[in-house]
Amino acid sequence: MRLVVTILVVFAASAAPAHAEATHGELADRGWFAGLNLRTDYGSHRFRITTGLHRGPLAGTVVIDPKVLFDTRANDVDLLTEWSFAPGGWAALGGYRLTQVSIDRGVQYHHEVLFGITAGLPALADRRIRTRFGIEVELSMARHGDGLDTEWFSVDSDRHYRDLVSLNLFLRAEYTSPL
Amino acid sequence: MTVRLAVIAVVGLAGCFDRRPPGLIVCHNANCATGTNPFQDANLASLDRSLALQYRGKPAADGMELDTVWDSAGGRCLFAHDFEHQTGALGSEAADRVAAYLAQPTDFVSWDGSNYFVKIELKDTVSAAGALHTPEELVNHYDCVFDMYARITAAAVANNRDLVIAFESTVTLVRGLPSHPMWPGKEPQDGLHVRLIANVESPGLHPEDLASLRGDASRDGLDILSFHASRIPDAIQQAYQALDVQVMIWMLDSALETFDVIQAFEPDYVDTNEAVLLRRWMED
Repeated sequence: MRLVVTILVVFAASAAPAHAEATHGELADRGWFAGLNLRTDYGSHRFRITTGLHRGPLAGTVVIDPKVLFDTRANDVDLLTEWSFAPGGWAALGGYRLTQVSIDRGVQYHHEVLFGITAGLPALADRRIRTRFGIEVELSMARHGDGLDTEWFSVDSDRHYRDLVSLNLFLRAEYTSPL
Repeated sequence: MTVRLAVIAVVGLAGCFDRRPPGLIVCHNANCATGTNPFQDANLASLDRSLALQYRGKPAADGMELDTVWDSAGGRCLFAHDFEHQTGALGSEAADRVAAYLAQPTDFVSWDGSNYFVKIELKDTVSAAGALHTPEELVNHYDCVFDMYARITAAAVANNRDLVIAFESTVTLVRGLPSHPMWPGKEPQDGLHVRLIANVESPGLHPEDLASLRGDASRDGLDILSFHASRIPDAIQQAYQALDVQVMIWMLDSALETFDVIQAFEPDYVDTNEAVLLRRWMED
C-alpha cells in the first residue's frame, strides 16, 4: 500500500507540462470518447465498454459490462473521474465500482472505491484513437444483499482487509472526438 | 427462428463461461456463521454457531476446520488460531463439540448428507513471540491432534458417518505425522479417510508427492495443496492445476476475485468464513 502511494506521489510530481497544441481528439479542450477497457485481473470482467466526456484536464468515464445484456449472474459498472496532468500524459484516477453477484434466491452487492493512475500510450489514427494504461487500487468497502450479513471494510487487523484490497492493471483503447 | 436460436446459443455460452463448480465448503477457522471477523476465529462460541449454521434446512457447510496451537508456556494444546486471541479452550474441547455434532440423530451433517470433512491444523509457532516447536513440544502437539482425531472418528464410526479427516501444517510438520505411533494410515477403515494438507507456499514438496496429490491414498505423501484464493500468482495455481492435484482454496472475505478464482480453478475444497454466501453462490 505504501508503495502504491509513493508511486502516485512520484508520478504526480513528475507530470509533464501541458501540450502546446490541443486541436482534436484527446488533446481538444472538450471532447467525448468511447472504447474498451481490457484487463487480466479477476476483479471484473476482462472486456468492458467505456464512454465518457472530458473538459480540460478533467474527464468523467462510465465503464459498463456488456455481459449484463444477456447474463445477470455477475457484472459491474464503474464511475471514474480522472485529472490529467498533461493532455495525453499522466492522470490521477478515482472512482466507484458497483458489482452484483447472483446468488441463490438473491443478489449480493459489492461497493468498491478505486484510486490510481493512468498514463497515455502512443495514440493512433491521428490521435483519434488513444490508448491508456492504468493501475488501480480497489478497496471493497461494503458487501450486502438478500439476508446476508452486511460486511464493512475494516482495518482492525491486516486479516480484516487483506482479501478486500487488490491492485489491478488495465488498458483502455478509445475513440476520441472533440465536442 | 434464426434470431431465437442465436439468442439461445449466446445465453447458453454465457452459462458455460459462468459455470459455478461444486466443491466441498469447509468452515474456515471454525468461524463461518456470521460476517468475517478474524478476531472470532477458533473459539468455542464461533464453533457452536458454525456447526449450527443452516441454509434451506440443511447444514450450509460440508466440513469444519479446527486450528490448534501448542502453548509452550502453559504446556497445553489450545483450540486457537493465534496466541493474541486464544480463549483458553483446548483442542480436545473443540473435538468433542464436533464429535457431538456427528452423533446427532440426523441424516444431514453436511449439505450433501452423512459425509463430513474435518481439517485439523497445527500452527507451527508455540508462543506469541513466534518460537517454533522443540522436538518434545512437537511430539506433544502430535499427541494432541491424534487425540482429537480419535474423539471425532469414534463418533463418526459409531454413527455411520463417512468422514475425511485431514491434518494441515507446514510440509515439514505434516511429514512427521505418519511416523507417529498413533498414525492410522490413509484408509484405516471403511468410511474413514485420513489426508495430509500443506500450504503451497510451504517449502519441502517432493516430486514423490505427486501420486498422493493425484489421489493415490496408498502413499504417505501430501494429498491436498491449499492456496489462498487471490494471493498466489496465477501461474503457480495453473501449474498445479495442470498436474491435476487436489486443491483447497482458502479465504477470509469473499471478494470478486475469490469467486473468479473458484470458477477458474475448480478447487476440490473451498475453505471460507462465509459458508452461507458460498453455498448460495454455488447453488445459484
